[in-house]
Amino acid sequence: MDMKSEAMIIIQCLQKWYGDLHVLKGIDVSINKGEVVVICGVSGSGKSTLIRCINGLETFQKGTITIDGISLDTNNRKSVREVRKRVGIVFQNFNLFPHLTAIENITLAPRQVKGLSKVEAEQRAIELLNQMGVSDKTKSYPISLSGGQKQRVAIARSLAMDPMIMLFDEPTSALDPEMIKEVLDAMISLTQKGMTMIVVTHEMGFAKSVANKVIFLDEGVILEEGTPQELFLNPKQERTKEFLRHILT
Amino acid sequence: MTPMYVLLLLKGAVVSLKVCTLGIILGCVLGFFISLMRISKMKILNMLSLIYIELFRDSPLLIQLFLFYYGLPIFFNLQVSAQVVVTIVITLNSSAYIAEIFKSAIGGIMKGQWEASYSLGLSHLKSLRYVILPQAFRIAIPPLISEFVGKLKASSLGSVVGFVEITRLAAMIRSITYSAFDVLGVTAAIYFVMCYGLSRLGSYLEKRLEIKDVNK
Repeated sequence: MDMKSEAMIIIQCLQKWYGDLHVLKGIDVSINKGEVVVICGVSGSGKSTLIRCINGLETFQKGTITIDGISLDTNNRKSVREVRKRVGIVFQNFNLFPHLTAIENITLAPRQVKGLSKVEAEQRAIELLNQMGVSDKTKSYPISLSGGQKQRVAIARSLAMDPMIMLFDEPTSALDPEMIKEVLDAMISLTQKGMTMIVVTHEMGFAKSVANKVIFLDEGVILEEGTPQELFLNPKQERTKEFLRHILT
Repeated sequence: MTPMYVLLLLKGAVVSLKVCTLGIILGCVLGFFISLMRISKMKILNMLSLIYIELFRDSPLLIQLFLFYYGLPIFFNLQVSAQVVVTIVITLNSSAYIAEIFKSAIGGIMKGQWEASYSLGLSHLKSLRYVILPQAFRIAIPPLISEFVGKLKASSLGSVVGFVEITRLAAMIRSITYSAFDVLGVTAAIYFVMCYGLSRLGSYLEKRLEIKDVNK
């Protein structure tokens, strides 16, 4: 391991129940600055719940999550606020604000949370829209955008808060096939800038080309983890093999 | 029916419309705060708002009018005109309905909107202010308009506590002219025009505020 790298995200013995349903049964993950981790697994395996725990959208009952040295306590507003300053999230269904234009979607939080002026926030938003390849959609409302454009605006919105970590919760699952590539390309450009990323996805091509680590989650436990090469070419667990057969065909 | 009587009815209609407009506007303000109590996580605020809402929704408007008309002077030593009583009762009664309208409009916004807003670091109040309410308000327009129309018609009950508005004037004209149907017919027609106008206004607002897909 690179001695200079430090763990940006440390998850220890994380357990979560929804009522009687035990969804996360003791997750241990450590992610270094600049690493890209892909989480995969069948639906119901707990992968979305896991990444939603990381920015405090879900509560958890046992274990610890430490982000950039801050221990996340969902009962403590200050710790949640500090964590959310550092962590951006992109959702499967975009969750853009439908009553705001693309640029207003992006500038809302920088203005309201960081106290940026309208001009400053818009300058940065335009840069980000450019970077995401949707600079021609500045004044469009979400309803007029394609799925791929919506997701790229959503990524720009998240980046506008200058997070250290980006979470992606199945960012391409709601997209038509022809739009998946544009979103993945935008995400790949982020990895090249050194962004620390956790991505829940079944896009194995993406995982192979940019992930440092792939985690296979099954019924609330990490069944197997390793580099994409290890996990895809030489899976050890029967469940992993079965899952990969499913995904790859 | 002479033109003078029609003019008198129209004047009464203006009084009805004024009182109802004021009542609905105040009802919106009050109803908004009650709806915030209703969606609050604090149990006590929840309970209080629910009691308030049920009290005003579960008894007849007419009884509420009488209670305030006779109750304000007795219990609060307030000598107020019938018009003020009607305005107060419409305000309080509509605020209960409007609180429920706002509550369900806010509840109708997808959970993902809150989540996206929280994730960007916005507080609960700022999420409400900048993300949820602007969307909820659009959803609330049609039921708000129908609440307005309902109260405009129900304000005719004010005539029984001596509030001189269109229905009261119609009754007075009827007793002078002894002609029932033309007076009532004209009165109904005036109500119709006001209510229909409000509905159109509602549709217009809805259209105006709708965000259109420019590709279609």
